[in-house]
Amino acid sequence: MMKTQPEPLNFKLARVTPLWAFKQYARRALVIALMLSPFALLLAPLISSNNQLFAVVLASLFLIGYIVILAWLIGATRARADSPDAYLDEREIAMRNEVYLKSFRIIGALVSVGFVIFTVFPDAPVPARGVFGLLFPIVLFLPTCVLAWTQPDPLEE
Amino acid sequence: MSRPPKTIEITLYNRLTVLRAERDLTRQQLADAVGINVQTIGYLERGDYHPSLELAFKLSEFFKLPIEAMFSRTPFKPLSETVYRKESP
Repeated sequence: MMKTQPEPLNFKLARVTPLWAFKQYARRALVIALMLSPFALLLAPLISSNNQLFAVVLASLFLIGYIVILAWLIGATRARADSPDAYLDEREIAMRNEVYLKSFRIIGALVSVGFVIFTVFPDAPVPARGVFGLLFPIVLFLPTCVLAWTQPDPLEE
Repeated sequence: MSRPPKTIEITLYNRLTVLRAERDLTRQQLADAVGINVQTIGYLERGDYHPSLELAFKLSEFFKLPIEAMFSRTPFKPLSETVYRKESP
């Protein structure tokens, strides 16, 4: 008996992603929201003043929002940025490779800007750990974000 | 010395839309037959994506036509003109 391969988890996400999220303008809005969410997480303690419980609830809401937006983005791009060759056709492989090239250039630019800032202002009151903490969730899913931003609307039959 | 262009412009015309319509096929059916995504068929038909040699051969085998009957570097003449053209004496 032939054994069928289980469907990858990120492919299942495409089914639970709302239809509006597949439109390019919606994908771009989600990318902006995803990029801003780590900064919003930083605002949680400021908004909640001294109420620690409120800060934790607010931070949790931002975190859940980040995860939901990320899941929708992966679903709306049908996980093509993270799929192995076996799940893609030749155009999709070329598109994925181009997305990784663009992501590499963006990361290179961000690292260069960071290097210049920390070189010019060695005593800047910005902890390097905090900067990398903010960049990490952005850089980690950058190929998905670049694909969601650049991919045109699906063609109609 | 002039700088080389950033992208290589390739113009490739194709008859995929006509061939698919003649056989009353949907993009999905053609995509399934040659093992590619349905969106890729749309990109091919619009000339936004140029196929690899392997995909061109798959399409050629599916339509049972030579590759040059489906793809050309110069615009195709309408099929009706090609079929019904009166030969000059």
